[in-house]
Amino acid sequence: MKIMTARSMVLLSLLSMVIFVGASLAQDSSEQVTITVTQWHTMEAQFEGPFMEIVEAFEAENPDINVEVIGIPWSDTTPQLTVRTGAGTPPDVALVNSGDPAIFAAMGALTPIEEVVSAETLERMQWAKGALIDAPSYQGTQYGFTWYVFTFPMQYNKNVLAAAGLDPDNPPATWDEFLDAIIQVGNEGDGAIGLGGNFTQGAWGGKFYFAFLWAHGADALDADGNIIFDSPEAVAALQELVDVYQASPNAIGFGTGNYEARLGFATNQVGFMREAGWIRTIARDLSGEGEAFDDDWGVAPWPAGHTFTGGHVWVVFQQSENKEAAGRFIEFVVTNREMQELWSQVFGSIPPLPEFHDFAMYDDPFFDEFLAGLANGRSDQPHPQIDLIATYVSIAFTEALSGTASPEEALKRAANNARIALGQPLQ
Amino acid sequence: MNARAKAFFARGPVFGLLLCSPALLIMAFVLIYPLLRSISLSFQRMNLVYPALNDPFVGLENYIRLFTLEPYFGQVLGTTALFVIVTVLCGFTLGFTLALILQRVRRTRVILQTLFLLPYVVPSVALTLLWMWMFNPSFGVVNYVLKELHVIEQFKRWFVDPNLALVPLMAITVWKGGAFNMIILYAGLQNIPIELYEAASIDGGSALQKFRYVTLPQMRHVITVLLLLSAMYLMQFFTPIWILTRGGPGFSTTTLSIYIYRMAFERYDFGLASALGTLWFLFLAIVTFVILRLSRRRD
Repeated sequence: MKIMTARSMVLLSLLSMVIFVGASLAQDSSEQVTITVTQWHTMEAQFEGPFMEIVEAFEAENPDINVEVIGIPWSDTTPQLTVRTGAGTPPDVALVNSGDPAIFAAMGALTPIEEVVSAETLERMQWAKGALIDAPSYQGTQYGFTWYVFTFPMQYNKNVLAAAGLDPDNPPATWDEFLDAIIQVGNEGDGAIGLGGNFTQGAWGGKFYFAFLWAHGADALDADGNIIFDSPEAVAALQELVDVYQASPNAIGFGTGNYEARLGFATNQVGFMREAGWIRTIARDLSGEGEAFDDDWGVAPWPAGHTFTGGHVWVVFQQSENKEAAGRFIEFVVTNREMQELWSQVFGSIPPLPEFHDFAMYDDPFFDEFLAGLANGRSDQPHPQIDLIATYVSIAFTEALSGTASPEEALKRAANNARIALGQPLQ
Repeated sequence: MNARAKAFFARGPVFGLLLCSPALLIMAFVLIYPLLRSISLSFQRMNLVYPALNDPFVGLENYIRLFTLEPYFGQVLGTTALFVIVTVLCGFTLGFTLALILQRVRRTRVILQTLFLLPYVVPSVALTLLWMWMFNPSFGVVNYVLKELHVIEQFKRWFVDPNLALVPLMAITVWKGGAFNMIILYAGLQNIPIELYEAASIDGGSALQKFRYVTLPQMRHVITVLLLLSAMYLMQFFTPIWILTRGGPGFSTTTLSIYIYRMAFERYDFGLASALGTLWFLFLAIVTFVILRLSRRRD
């Protein structure tokens, strides 16, 4: 037998490698596609497991699709995706806040959702058009596919209300009653705060202040995207809040954020809050009383006639070479009953499809107001720079509440500065 | 390779450059390219959210816009100047005081040195979060102590009052910066010849006179360089401000470094942010040049 030379061995090895790699690539390209999915749930210990369970269930049902999951912290998602999109390297699919599709749509980076999911599924979401269809749309086209929503009715602490001389079983039903109640709680002393919430600066603070604008029929933007938060209605709304604050500096938790509000609520120091369904678990933990604390508070409609709704939606980027696979993934996540039940239990959110509202967890009356809120839900207006606009609104509210400017001056200045930033004519 | 070529490579600049080339390549990639790209972006209209309006060359439009249209630019410059001046001077005073205390004590020096250094070795983020709770408007210890001392009547809302928000930021910066200053100044104090103090004692100099006529002149160069380095560092200060206030309320705690970030990642206006960054870079380059000149003069 002829002994193989070293040169022959090297050549044979190289040939084997080429054949092996070539065969692997050919197999990959013909049988399996990979989609990249960015989201933030895998960055949070309690949600990573259930999220990966959903992905694995999808992959098991769709062996031709491999899902590459990329985690981005929630707070970094919008800037990171914006920069990635601007650089021409977006993922195939991304989970974003319900108002954020407008940003990427304005960049021309998103695929209209009707191109990747079935018309029948979209039709089943028409029942809550405002929250499910309009919020993730931009200029009449829907770009976001709602995975789950949350509504923000009013929570009231019965112990705080009783201590302030209010009826703990009859929370305020109108806006005026509500304002009177938070003043009364604020004047109670002992550090009690009427309304807790995100009374801070920045976009999220600004979005919380939108509630006060909406209660007066005012808005941040008109239908064409023009800045209008210095309208007479907006001035009246801010003036009203300043009056409330002057009547009792503790009527609102000005300067404090969500965490302080939740902690205060759970320790019987905050009278009212506006939170989503996840608040029950949080309140139980923070109170130290567990489920026993459930009897100390209730949920009622937000007294301004609408319920703020938010949600997280899937978007598919225009640059994706695997739109069909991307569409199958997001449709699976949204419409698979078992997966939606798993996620609702873990996250305390609400599935967008009404046929899923019969999950056993929703038999609990606690969820009644949260579910009911969807029908009259109201979301932030879809605008590519809604966060920037909200930041300017928070600037105006902060200035007026801290007494450095009158409501009219503060709103006029902030609105004009927002107009400069957005390139709109000054008024 | 013949002997002459070997000698050329061994002694000539080519060999030195070859040795430095990995570092130079990394520098070019992470420093010089981004810098040049930023300068080129400053002459473009470049908004990520509205790509249809982008223009590859708009001349000085972004620079002109900064000085004529941007409503907060002047306020940001003023805030930056105030923040840097106050924190540099207070941090220096604190650091010098601590260094002088260390120089005087003998038995407790090691303990005090460790204590004084603590703010410097604690990570900035942890330190900032600690101070955030201390200044919490509802249950922060600062409000509690000030109220007990009758300095304030009601709890202050530190981070939402535009007139107050800079105070906690400055306090944190001075506290942390003071420790760093102490290290440098203490090292400087150790280098002053003891004979000078002995001579001053023989001449009947008081403690204050020794400080005025021996310590300060001997420390002049250390102090100058330290002040300039501190100023330059604080001009770029970012993390604690971003964690505590994100530049707010409004723009009342927005310094230039925060402003550049907000311009880029709140407005997505990379042209304007780059113009601001370029101006800022030029200013810092001048400060660096001054520091280097002073250091050389000292050498």
